[in-house]
Amino acid sequence: MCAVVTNDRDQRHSTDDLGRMNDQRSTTNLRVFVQILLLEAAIVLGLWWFGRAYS
Amino acid sequence: MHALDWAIVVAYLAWMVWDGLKRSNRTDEVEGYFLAGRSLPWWAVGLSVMATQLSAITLVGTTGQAYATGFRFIQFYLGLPLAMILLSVTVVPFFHRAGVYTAYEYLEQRFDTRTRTLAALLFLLGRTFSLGVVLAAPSVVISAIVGWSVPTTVLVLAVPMVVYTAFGGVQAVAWTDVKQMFIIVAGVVAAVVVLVASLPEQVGFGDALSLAGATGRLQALDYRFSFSETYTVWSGFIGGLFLMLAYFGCDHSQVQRYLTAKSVDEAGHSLLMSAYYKIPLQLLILTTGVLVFVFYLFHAPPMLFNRAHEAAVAAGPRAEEYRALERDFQAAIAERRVAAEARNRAAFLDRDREVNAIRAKAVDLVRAVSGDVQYTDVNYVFPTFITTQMPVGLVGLMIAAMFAAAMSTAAGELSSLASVTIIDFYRRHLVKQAADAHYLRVSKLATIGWGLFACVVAMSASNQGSLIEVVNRYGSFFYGSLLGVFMLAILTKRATAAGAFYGLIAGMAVVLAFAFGTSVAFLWHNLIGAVVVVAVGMTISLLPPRTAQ
Repeated sequence: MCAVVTNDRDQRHSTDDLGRMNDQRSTTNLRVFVQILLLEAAIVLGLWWFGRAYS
Repeated sequence: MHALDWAIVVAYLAWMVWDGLKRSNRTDEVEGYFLAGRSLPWWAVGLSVMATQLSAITLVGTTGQAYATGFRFIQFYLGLPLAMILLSVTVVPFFHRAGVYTAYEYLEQRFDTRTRTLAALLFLLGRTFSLGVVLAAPSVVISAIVGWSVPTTVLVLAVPMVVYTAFGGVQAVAWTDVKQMFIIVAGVVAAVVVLVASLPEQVGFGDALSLAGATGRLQALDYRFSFSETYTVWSGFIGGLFLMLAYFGCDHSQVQRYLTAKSVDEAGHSLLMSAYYKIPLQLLILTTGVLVFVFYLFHAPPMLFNRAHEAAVAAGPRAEEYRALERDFQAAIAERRVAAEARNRAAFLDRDREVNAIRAKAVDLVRAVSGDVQYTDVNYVFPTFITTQMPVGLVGLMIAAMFAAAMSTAAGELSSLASVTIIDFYRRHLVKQAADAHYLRVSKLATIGWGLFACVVAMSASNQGSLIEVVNRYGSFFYGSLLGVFMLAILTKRATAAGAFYGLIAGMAVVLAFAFGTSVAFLWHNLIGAVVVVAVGMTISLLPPRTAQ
């Protein structure tokens, strides 16, 4: 009986861990996506400035 | 070329073949041969993705285009970062979970055999011609440098690449790609250093940029909305987005790269590497072309960069006309140099226009004398600079970089062509039940066969205008429609097999009509193809089913 409870608790912990890992992964992914889009925006703005400065 | 440069090129070729063949002992089953046992780390796959996309066409054609028109070509890549983000969260997980060997295998799981077969056939048609052009680009370069015939040059380039791809499989392709990517970047950086160091003492880097900027070469962004203009911000963001979605999401030469990754996350990361670094790398290559233009403001450029054509015209029936143009050209570039050094903007622009006009007449003369109406000089600009202006040793490195760029792209395409041929046609339709060893054997034969076929295409595709545009035009005939059918497969559950199949046919028909019947620029063909396939496919899918009489 005890073993079953322990297993359930372990199972609950690992499910929580998995959920937390998924959340962390989503946050990391979102941060990476935002970084990429900001980098592109900076490049486009830089090109626009560059074209104006050296025309 | 100096013996040291030849030694570097030969050493590079030997290293690639040796390194590729080293991998062949791990490819004793079809999954290992075509997918590396789904075991590669994200950074190797990411570099392989970038190397496959960065062909010798990128080095030769893009630098030539930057020399002639400047940074405008960068707009072509504006849709790439967003495309990579979208693909990493949509298509990549779908393909990995489906456990497929090829992108088109997934279409049978979702729709039916005929849709898979048609999509695979479109890929084979498009990729074969593209592979020919990818091999032709460096062959044009090398043949112009050393005086070999184009067919000989194609064989020198293709044979080592076919050998390591055929025997080492996709593992050989991926790991040689990693090394080739470093050689390419090292070569381009070396060229930039030489170009900057070659500026006259009184001309600073800022002055060089001002001169290039005065001719409009630093105007990267064109905000005009025009369907007939090839490179604008809008065609890049919208048409380019659809092209990149199709190329990286539906073209098996790229899908195969990330199917080799060890997990969904690693596959996604490999694509995001391109999202970060592709545009900066492309800017570096374009900068090289612009700096070559500045270099030739202060060092006498040839009137024609293809010396073989120049010699033929100078010895032909219109030699006197050519010599007169040459005299005018020498006078114009001398005056342009004086104006550039004096920073006299108006005089510099006048003389630059005159130089361009004389060069255009010389190109027309070549076309008239040689009968080659497609002849364009831009593809010979960078190779001429390399062989005549770079120091001994770096010439070898640059030629090796061009070989690397060509071989990395061609090897990836070759492996994917063989993969689709065997998995989507041979194993699906011809020999359905055979031992893995049998499929492995025919896979190697298919790789060799496609390699030979590509050589034949390359020999007849060596002079078709700006090479970078040729390959993208070929791709854009098919890509939009392929993307449309994958959108139907992934984004909606209501699309039916009949809708996907007839939508794909309708998309192809409309794109071909636009390509040959209108002046709409090729980047837009991707959007048009995708929209038509989705619209027709969904309409057919939503029609009520016919009931039996």
